[in-house]
Amino acid sequence: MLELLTFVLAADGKAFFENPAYLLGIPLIAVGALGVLLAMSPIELKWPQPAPAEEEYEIFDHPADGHPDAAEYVKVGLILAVITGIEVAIYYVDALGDTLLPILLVLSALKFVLVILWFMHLRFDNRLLTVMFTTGMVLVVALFVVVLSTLGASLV
Amino acid sequence: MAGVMIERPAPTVGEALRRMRQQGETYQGVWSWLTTIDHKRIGLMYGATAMFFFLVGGIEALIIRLQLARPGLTLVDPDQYNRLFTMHGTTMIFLVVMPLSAAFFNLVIPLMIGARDVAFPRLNAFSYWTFLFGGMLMSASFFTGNPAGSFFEGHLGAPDGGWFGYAPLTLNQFSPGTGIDFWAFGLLILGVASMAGGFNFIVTIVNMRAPGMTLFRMPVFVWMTLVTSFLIIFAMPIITVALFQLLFDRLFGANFFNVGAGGTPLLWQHMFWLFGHPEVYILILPAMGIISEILPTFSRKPLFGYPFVVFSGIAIAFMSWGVWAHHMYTVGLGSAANAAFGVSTLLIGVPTGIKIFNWLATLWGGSISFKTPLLFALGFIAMFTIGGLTGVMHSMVPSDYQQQDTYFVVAHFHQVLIGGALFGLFAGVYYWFPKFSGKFMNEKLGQLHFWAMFIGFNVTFQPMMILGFLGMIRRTSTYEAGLGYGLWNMMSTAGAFLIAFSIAVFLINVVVSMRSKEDAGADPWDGRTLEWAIPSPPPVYNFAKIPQVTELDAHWAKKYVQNEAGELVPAMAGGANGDDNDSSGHDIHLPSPSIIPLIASAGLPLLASGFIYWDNPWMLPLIPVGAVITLVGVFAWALEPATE
Amino acid sequence: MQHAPTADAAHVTNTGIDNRKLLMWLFLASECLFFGGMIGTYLLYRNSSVTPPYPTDRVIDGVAYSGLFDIPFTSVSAFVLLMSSVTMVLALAAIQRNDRRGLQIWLAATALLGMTFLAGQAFEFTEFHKEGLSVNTNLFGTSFFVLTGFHGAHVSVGVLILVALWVMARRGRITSENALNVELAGLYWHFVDVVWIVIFTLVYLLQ
Repeated sequence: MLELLTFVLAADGKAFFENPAYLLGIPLIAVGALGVLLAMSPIELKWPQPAPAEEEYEIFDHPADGHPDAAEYVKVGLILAVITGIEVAIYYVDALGDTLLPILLVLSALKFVLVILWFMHLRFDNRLLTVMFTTGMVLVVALFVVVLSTLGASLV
Repeated sequence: MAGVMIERPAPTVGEALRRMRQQGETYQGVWSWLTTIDHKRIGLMYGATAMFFFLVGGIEALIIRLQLARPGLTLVDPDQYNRLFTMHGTTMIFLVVMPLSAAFFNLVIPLMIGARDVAFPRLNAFSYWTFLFGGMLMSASFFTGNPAGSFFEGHLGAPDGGWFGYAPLTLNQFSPGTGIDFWAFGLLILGVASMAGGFNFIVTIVNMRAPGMTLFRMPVFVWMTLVTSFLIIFAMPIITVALFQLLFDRLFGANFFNVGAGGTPLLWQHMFWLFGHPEVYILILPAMGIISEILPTFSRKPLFGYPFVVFSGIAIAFMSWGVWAHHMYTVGLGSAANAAFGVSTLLIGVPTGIKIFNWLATLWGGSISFKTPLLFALGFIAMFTIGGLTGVMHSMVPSDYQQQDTYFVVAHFHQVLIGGALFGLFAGVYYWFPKFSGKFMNEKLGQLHFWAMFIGFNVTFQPMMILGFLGMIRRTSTYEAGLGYGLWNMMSTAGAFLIAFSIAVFLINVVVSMRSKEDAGADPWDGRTLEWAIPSPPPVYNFAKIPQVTELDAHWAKKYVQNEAGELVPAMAGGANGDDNDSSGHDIHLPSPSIIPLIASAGLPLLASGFIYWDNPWMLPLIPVGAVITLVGVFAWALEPATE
Repeated sequence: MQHAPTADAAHVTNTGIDNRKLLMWLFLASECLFFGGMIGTYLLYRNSSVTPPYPTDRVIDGVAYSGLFDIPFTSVSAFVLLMSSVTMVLALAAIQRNDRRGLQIWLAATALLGMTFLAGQAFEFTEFHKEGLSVNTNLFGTSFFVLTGFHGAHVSVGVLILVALWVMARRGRITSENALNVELAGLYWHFVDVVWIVIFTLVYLLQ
């Protein structure tokens, strides 16, 4: 994408690639942009069926089969708690040094995704909702990675 | 939760509310306008309010032009001049072009997609009232004075930081008084209005199309509304953050843009243009949509390359996110960043060009009738092309270094905003006026309006191009004699008054046309889209029977079929001309009118005024008062049943 | 909070998604940009404060400054907010099985956890203020208070919604038919939670 090109060009080559935050940012943006493009492409687009099938509408009144039950929610909650524990624990490990940042970013992204997919039901819901939310997320990450890199901000 | 008010507590309040709603349903009197949730009435109110602000912004422009007519004039002093151009820009963008577009969204979108209203009628009313109150709050700054003892004591208190409000010019140090606070709060409230509208129209278009109207059977105007709404909901939050930061700096001494504390004013520039460039397309895309409806109708041909027009609109929206730094070439981002943004800016010209060629190809070989709507549409194509090409000139970094802050930039964006957006919107006014009034606009006055405006526009802004190349700097209140600017400025001022004359002709035309006896009928232009299938003006419920859509240009397809020779002949079964849109026998249940959106939005300007004057103990209570009004409004909204 | 407040109540939407749910998701997508702007600003100004106090321990020109952040305390409040997401989703699961009592319990638990989080934030703000940090002290104070303050405002709105829902549930006005009310409140609540997940990592844990 253009944004990607921009901030690759904008920053001083060496310093740029030494910065792990931006190194992680590139694949993030690329994957996100690809996802949005795929979702936007008319071939893949599953939304707006002119007359929705009866069952499709039913989903919103009654949880469909395969909708997680309370036990599964609790399981996800436990995983989230464990990840938070790991985050706080590794915060105190001095030996990690600069690798702390990428580990923390991955862990918090994992928590983010778990909540979105299970608790907010994006995993089981209409894909259009995922497309819209992802667009917002990708947009904001891409824009501010560019802004921060042109302003010379650093995460480490 | 429905029915809480009716069944149980507070019989007096509930009863009073119910009586008010019944009064609103009679569709007569002021009360019915205050409580209306009918998208057509809200659209008309949007349009009327925007026209009022258009006159305000126009008068500001005329004062500016008079001041610049000859070198060394002192009609206004430099400080007042700053306030005038700031309010002119802000008014024209946020209080004229955006709400005029919103007026067309409201009026036309539900009709075009075959729906009875938008998805959230009360939210729609809330958008309008919030827009009105935001505009009033911002304009109220003209009536405030600056505190005694400040340098600007006694002057008009309007904002003076330019529509872009660059920090640190907008911080207390350089802009004392309350002008910028009014500006920032006004924009925040207008942002709420735009976002509420944006959400509403996305949901309406995505969810409420008539059966059979797939995405690629939607008229282009519907597509452009969808795209614009997405731009609005993603761009507005960014300026919201920036405005909050500015207000924290101004009101509470925060340090976001305080260089002394390590802050950087460049953050404001980035945030503003992250919003500001998509905003440019928020202004122009609806006009492009209107043009794409008018050209096929008046050349009696389908739109050439419909998918290309749609996809280039989407492409423009996507790319508009990657070009913001072309407003910041001269701040020193580095040559690599400048080059990248230059390239992306050049690329955005491609989808724009695709649209222009498709419009031209639509006209090619059509049986064209040169009515006023088409004249404005053609004016749009010609003027917007010039505006777009000068934009391509700006995208070249070295060239832009020369043009930065000269009148060439002023000429460029007026070329796009008047020659583009405003011409497109006027085309829409002439095109849809018969639909909502049942009367034609007077054609002779319409032609006079067009030619006066077209000539006046060119006489005003082409000299500015030359002034820009001569090196005249924008945002300065006067210039010295002997620089060769005098003649061009005088021309420009004369042209501005010709535009003012054309607007007077337009207003007279509206009055004259409303009084005419001639009935325009349901389908005066032999239109292609669904709004022409129902009577003019449309009944409250729009469609007695929700239409079944089988192809693009749904109404046209019902009227005409092709014979063996491939020629268009009228369809046999009498077609559709609004006669069968009778509600008798149908029980159409419409949502009831409601005053609550008005109440909920009335709290916002009070809240803002409380914060603007928060160091004044007499004004401070406005904060809780405004907050309580808004909260009560929101709760009543949730409790009030949508229909009775 | 009507059911399908459209001009035509019987209208089945084109996508099958309820209008209000679509609205909520669009709102959340738009909120991403809002919080993105706030968090981006904080990251830009992370190490730019020219005067103390600082968020973390540091030594400048031989003078040691102790940091303000209390990671164990914030971890607990982050954990509280995370667990409130679990109780929220359990409330939804309860009402979808038409278990009204479960709904009441879990809604109350969610609201209480939310209030605990807010109380923690109030305590933290007071502590920082005692240490000499205000919104106008330095860039850290400015960007920290504005970011977490706006998040706190969102949590407060969420608590208000939850309490209103809880009152409705107590009066038996929420059934499995209008469980969408709970689902929408849940979407908002979970979003506020994921924003805190990001803030906790990027603001507190990054050194």
